[in-house]
Amino acid sequence: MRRVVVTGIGVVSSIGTGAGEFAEALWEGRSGAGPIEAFDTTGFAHANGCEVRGFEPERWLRRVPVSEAGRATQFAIAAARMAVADAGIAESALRERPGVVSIGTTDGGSDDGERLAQTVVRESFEAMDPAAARRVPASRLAVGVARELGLTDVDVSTVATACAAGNYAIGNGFDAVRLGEAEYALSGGADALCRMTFTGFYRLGAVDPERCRPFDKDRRGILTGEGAAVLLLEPLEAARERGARSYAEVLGYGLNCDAHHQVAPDGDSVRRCMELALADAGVAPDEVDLISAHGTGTKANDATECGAIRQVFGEQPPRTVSVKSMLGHTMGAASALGAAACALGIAGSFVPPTINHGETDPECGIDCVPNTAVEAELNVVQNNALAFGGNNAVVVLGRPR
Amino acid sequence: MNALVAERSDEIKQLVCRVLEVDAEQVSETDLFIDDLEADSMKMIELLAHLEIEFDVEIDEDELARLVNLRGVYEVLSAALDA
Amino acid sequence: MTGAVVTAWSAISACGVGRAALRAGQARPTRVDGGPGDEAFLAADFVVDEALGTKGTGSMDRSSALGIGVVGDVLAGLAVDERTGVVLGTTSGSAQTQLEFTRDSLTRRKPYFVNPATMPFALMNSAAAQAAIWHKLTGPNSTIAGGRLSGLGVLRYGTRLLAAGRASGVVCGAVEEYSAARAWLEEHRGRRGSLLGEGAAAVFVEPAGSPRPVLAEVLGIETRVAVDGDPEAALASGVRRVLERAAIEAGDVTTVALSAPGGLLGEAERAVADAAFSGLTAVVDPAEAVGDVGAAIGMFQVVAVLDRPGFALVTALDDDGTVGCGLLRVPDVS
Repeated sequence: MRRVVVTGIGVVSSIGTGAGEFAEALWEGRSGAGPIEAFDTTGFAHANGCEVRGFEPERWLRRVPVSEAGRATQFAIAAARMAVADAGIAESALRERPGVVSIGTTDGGSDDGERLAQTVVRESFEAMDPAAARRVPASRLAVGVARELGLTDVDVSTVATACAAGNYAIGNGFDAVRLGEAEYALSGGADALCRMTFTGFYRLGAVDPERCRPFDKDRRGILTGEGAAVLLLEPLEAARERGARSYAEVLGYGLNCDAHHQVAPDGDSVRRCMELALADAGVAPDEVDLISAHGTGTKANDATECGAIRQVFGEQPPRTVSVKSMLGHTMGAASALGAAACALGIAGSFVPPTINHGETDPECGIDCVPNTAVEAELNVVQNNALAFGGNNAVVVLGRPR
Repeated sequence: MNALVAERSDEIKQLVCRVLEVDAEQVSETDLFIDDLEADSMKMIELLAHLEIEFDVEIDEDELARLVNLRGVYEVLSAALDA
Repeated sequence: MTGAVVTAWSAISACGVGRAALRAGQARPTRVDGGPGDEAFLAADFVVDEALGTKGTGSMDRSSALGIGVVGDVLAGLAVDERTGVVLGTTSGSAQTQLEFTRDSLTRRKPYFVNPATMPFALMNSAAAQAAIWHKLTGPNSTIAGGRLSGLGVLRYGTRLLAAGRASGVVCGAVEEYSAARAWLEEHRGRRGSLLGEGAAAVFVEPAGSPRPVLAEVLGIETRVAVDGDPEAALASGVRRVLERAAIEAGDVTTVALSAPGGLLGEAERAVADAAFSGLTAVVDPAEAVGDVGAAIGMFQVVAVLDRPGFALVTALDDDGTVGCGLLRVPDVS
């Protein structure tokens, strides 16, 4: 089986666009939080989120008309374009070989869907905007990337495994390249802020009124966020041949399902998923230097996840951070952004901080690298993702050798 | 107890039992939702939401602590309606 | 060669629940209200409370119930283990649940006066996740939003999980509900296919060497994105490649199962089938029996060829520009 490396990173986020700016923001511990403007928040007692501001789709969409792409698709396309450019590979070179485009999402085109729902409520089904209706199917995300880059010979899939979808998409691309089914993969995740998701988490009492503070004893929930990250994955040999820089090697991944509860994570199952990932990567727990946790900032998630981490890694687990403290919960993009952060951390020898941190909850019992990034040689990094429906996926990245 | 709650107590019980997926005939006013009727925290938030929707009233999430049995539901709802 | 084999299947549709019902193929459209059309092929025999009971189904929608139902039926009598997985295809989950959730939020006095229990069902992974919860399936669990390419997308994703050793066996399926919300969305998208239908179909895929009788070998799957706006040429190129890789002549293909998207795409699909294959190739169109079941059509095509020995080709086109085909070999057991 072939080894697979990350040679390009593209990012759209509330704290920075592009790999360079994103890395800088992670190092500085920037916060993307602010009042939500993407939809009308009248009637909610609080409505902070991590919105991408000043995004210009025209900068990135050259072949796909902007009007045909929903916001999440625009994010995915922008991130994919950046990843290809960042890898220093010509689009024409990608067109000549079989590839994978695999984009994870929670909401897909739901932001358009809920605006159509508003039309139905205020007017009628007949009054729906046909262009918006065409943007709703989630397949548009991955297909949009292929269309924009002119990729014909591709296996396109929009992976809809909710809040773990980014890692699923990376795993899918990794397997295709590792098995020799594809010569490259553009894998990641994208989501746009969505009223439905915000309302759902709000109703569950899982949205923090102010800021996202994972692992803190006073944490009160997530902030919903948006963005995208796409990684260009290539076989190690091919990357070497063309003299490409590798941020990180994808060592392996694991995925499983709690098969237990729609909403509440199951600690034992999360533990098993981490064990599967480490076994797939051929890595022992004591070799892991950093965990990028799912770390949503809800009471239940952080306690359960940290409990599972301690089961695998013992009472002194590696540093465990949550980039959601900066980015909010970007849903299907979350673990893709997490993986991008891990790869950038490996390449730049630093650990992104968990910001907004006061006092660590003893129930979490981890070193979350509060508020300030630290320099560190990172050889093996683990990126966790959990989702509603018990869809877990854990990706393990390593320093390229 | 608030007059409206008293008047609609049977209906409230039906709603509680529907949300918790238990047989109304086997539920007393003091059966504990979590310990006796196997509800989880998600179910409790669901119940709170249904009460709010049904009575068009806002109930503070801190009241979940009192929403332990049918009697608690009547009390919380009465307090919310009287507020 | 994917090295994967199909060893079980089931389907729920307007024809009824299970294999025998689909093979009998007796379906009549049902009158429906609220949609742009007044008839649809509903899976009327699938009554959620009867099929799954009342416990846990109070807030459940049709999509998730159909997913639970079809996965359960496929696995009936099979031994599952902790690495048995589920992969289901969809267009964008339950359009109706999403609409109702947003409607409640927009019309009630407070925007958060919504039923939190419906939120997980509004997510696209609900059907697959619910199937796992219901049937205790802890292996890989994934959802592919592939529109009309979902059948092929799911099959490829599932066979890849097997090739990578991540699952011992995978239920590969796809689900599409009928609802007014879906019907209107499809109407505004300019859908051209047959009468809308509701359905779910699934196959059990496992590595070759299974002790169970093989219903079909999955020889290959090819997909293309018609970036130049020529789906016919893209599909033809995919068909050539999949045959070439399996070292099979077009004349050896005994069955072609169409996705029948209608309109220009439907014409392109027919044109490729006519050009590539001889008059001896049987052409099957499962939508004639079950209606336009959207994302589920691909799996209905797959199960439609399982009782037709020989080489079978399943084609698919979506108006998002993706096209593809899958090649299966169905052994002659007679």
